[in-house]
Amino acid sequence: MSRIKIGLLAGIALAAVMPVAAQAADPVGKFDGATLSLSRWAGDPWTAAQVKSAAAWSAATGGKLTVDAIPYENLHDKQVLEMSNGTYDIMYVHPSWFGEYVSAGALLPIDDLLADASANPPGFSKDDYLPSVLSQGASGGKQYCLPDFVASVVVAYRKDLFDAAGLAAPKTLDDVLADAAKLNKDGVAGITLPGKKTGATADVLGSLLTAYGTWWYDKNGKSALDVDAATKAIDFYVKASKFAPQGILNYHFDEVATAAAQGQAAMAISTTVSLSWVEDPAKSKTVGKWAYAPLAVTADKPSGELIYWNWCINAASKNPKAAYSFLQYWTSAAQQGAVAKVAATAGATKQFYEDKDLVASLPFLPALQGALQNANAQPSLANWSKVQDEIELAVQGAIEGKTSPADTAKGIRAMLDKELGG
Amino acid sequence: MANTAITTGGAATRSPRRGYRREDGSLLGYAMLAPAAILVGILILLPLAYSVFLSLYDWKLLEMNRPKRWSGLGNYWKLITDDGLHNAFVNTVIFMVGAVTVELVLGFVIALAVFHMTSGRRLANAIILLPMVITPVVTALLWRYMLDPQFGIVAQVMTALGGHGGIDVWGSSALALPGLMLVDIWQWTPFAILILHAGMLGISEEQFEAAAVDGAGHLRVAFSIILPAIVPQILVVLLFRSMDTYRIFDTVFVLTRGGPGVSSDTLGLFTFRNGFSYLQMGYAMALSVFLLVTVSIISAFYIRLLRRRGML
Amino acid sequence: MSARAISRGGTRGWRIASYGMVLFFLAWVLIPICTVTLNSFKPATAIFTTTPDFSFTPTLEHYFNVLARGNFPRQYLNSTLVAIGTVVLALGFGTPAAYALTRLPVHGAERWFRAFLLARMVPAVSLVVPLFVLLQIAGLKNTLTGIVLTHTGFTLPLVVWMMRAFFQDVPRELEEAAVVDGASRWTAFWRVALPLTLPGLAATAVLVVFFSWNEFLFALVLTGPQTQTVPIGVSAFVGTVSVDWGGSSAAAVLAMIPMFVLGLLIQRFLVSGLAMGAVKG
Repeated sequence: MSRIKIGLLAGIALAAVMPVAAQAADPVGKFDGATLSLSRWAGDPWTAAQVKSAAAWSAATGGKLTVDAIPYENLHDKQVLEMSNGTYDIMYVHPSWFGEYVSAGALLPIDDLLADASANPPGFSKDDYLPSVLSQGASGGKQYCLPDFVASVVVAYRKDLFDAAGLAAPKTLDDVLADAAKLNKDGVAGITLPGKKTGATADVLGSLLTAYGTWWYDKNGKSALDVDAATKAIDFYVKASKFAPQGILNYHFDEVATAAAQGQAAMAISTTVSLSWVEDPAKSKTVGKWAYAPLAVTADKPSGELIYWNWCINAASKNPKAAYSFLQYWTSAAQQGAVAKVAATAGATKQFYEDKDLVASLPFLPALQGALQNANAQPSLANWSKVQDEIELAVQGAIEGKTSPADTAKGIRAMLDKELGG
Repeated sequence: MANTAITTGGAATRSPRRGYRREDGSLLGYAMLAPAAILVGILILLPLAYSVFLSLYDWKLLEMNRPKRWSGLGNYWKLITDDGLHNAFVNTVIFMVGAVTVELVLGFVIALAVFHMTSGRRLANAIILLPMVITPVVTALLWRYMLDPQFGIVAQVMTALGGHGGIDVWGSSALALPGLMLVDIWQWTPFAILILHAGMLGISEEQFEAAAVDGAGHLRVAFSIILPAIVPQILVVLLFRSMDTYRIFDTVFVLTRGGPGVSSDTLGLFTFRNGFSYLQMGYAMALSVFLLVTVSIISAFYIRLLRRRGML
Repeated sequence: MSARAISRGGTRGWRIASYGMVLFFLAWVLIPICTVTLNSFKPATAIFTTTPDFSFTPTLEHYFNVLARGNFPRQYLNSTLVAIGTVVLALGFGTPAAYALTRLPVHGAERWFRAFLLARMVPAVSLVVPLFVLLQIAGLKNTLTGIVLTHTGFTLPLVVWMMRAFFQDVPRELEEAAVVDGASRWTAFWRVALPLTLPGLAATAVLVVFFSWNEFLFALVLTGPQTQTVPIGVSAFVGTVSVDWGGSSAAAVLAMIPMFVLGLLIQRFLVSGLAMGAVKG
């Protein structure tokens, strides 16, 4: 899925030099008779991989875990409705829902479980997770969730088309625009990027804002958008969309990746996860022709957005310990490595990045690591779903030419002031 | 059914209406009515009353089990000043009027054509009804694939004819709403055809023969005999289609989510979004009351027309 | 040219134009359905082409993928059970109610009927939360019974509306004659009126099945993994997560087929039923 954010790369860089205790791959604990239910979006290969892990966990612990996978579009509604009655023990929580869930007291703090040696494999420590990603699942000094599905927004470009046109690899956003203009011909769009109101547009603009050195809000969650920097970011978005295929206002990340995979565009701005489709021979006509680069205003400062998902325990769960056991097992490096191989998501533990073979098999990983060196995480403020909607409305207006980038930026700032406080 | 009436019609005159007095069977009447009335009462009307009650509070969906803040008519006051609602309302009315008009006119033309077929009518009717039985999620999928600006069949044909890809419907704020209307027209014109056609079948042959004797042309027959005769069926099409297009939700949710911008936002979607995305359930409940009241007004208009003709 | 065509104002040219228009309309109806059916047999790379491609090698892989997903067969079974349960309840309760409102001396019959109509107009979105709470309290959430009841609630008004029109069509004298001959009012309903409305009953039943099979929102909100129905399963393929046009097309075809078959089987009843039930003839 598409909206994922990732944390910082600093953690990944550290991981390369620090020895990390190897995590055992087996589930911890015995939970005979416990029945758990897990809520997530439906979508393979992720759902299938998790159903398999759930079976392995059940076999090892004696507990029973049901995976309730429903369409992503309805996941938030369903979780919110079920929240109060403890139907779900484990919930897959998008960053933009995290704040509202925490403030409603719907999630269980897991600090005690993280620190409990009997609940974890030997040698486990919460420091095994990338700190920048793990911290996204914390609020008010309490840890609530364990992360996975790490990704970022990057630029993918067609090496063959760039070579044929005698162009160098794009290093900056200005390069991207210039190259898109040159390659926008012969029925192939210069670039493709999402413009639909589903979070994708906010993710891309968020990444661009970070590249231009600003962010929606400050450390305290108060409106802090720099209007000049935002104007530049929106200006880039609007200009890039001029070289994009028709229909991007209805493009989510997967449509972007599909267009790229089918040879419809010379470049694509999308998530690392969706871009893995361009390397899948069953779905792509352009396998092996792609290279990846992070977004950057100047070549020395690659930027992006930390895309991730949170695994959280419902405060109303009757089996929190069993739920935690599965979360720990599922977010371990071994499990995440297995998922990464089929689904092109990156793991949220340091150990994940130490598996040289795995890392070598993920072509987008260097660009992802670059992007995450200067990344803001997907927002998780309490009223972010609404704010995100407003942001995407404004961006669509700018792409359609109804408002200028400067006015759009001002409008977004005013909306943020109103919704978040200035 | 009509001819059985003729053969047995004399029975009632045979004897006084023994055992057919008013009070008789009234107990049975209530007993037969009760299960349905209770079920609809519990499953629809009681929940409806509950949602009206909930619209008087300012509460978020995540706070279902906690004390809610009383806000009286606060949520209703907000309705009046909400630009988003205004936009959704205008879109919805455009959608309803546009889609229902086309469905009715096209339905009449095709029903008339089917009526004039001398063979193959059953097969035609069988195919015509297919769109009606498709789940909205699938309908939306069909049209997303039809109109995809790169890989949709419309785009493919246009490219094959020498053009450059198709028309971008779902990503254009000018075309998204008409696109959704097109989908509704595809799915529900068959409903209009089947009803209007059946109405035409009910017109007596004598009327046509009289017209034939007068030497009336087919157009005159269509407009001076057929059209007046099927007014009740037309009203039924208007009633059901207006009710359903006014509350349209599924297709919009799957195809455009109201976008680009708010260009294809509708009342049903707007209400759903306020309740389930923004979690402002009190306000969403007030919106749904607004939706119900307005749809009742529209329906009451047609029901009155039907009743005036003794059709209800 | 047939006498009927003449009497209806038909001429040869008029008739040809009629066939032309009907054929045109049938094509318009069928093209999207055929396209998605064709897609379901295409390998993924043959779906994403910019010109029409008929040279692909047909494959069943998408169907295998859909059916291999643990839940789809289960969802099929659930949908079938829910549709059957809904039909039985909605007709079982709605038909007697419609009869009572048409023929029996029920005080304020007109007002009762209007209450049913009002229930038909309630926007689904206003019922999600209250129904969720209601079924939760009753312990029926996440059960097939719960969805059956919900679908029954939604279709009862339609059943009452349609069956009332059918009963109005039955000549009153028939039932009066039966009563005169000593039958009870119930027998007059059960043995005289009801058999005469069988075609209408069939049409109504099928409309109820269509509704129940296709209903999405409540089937989603009130179910769990064991009780989900087909539309939820299809929508999992259509969602944002996947670009799986082949898989979603196969799922769509599997969802459509039973309703197509049913629609074709009872097409004759449905056509007359829709007409007569919608308006008293």
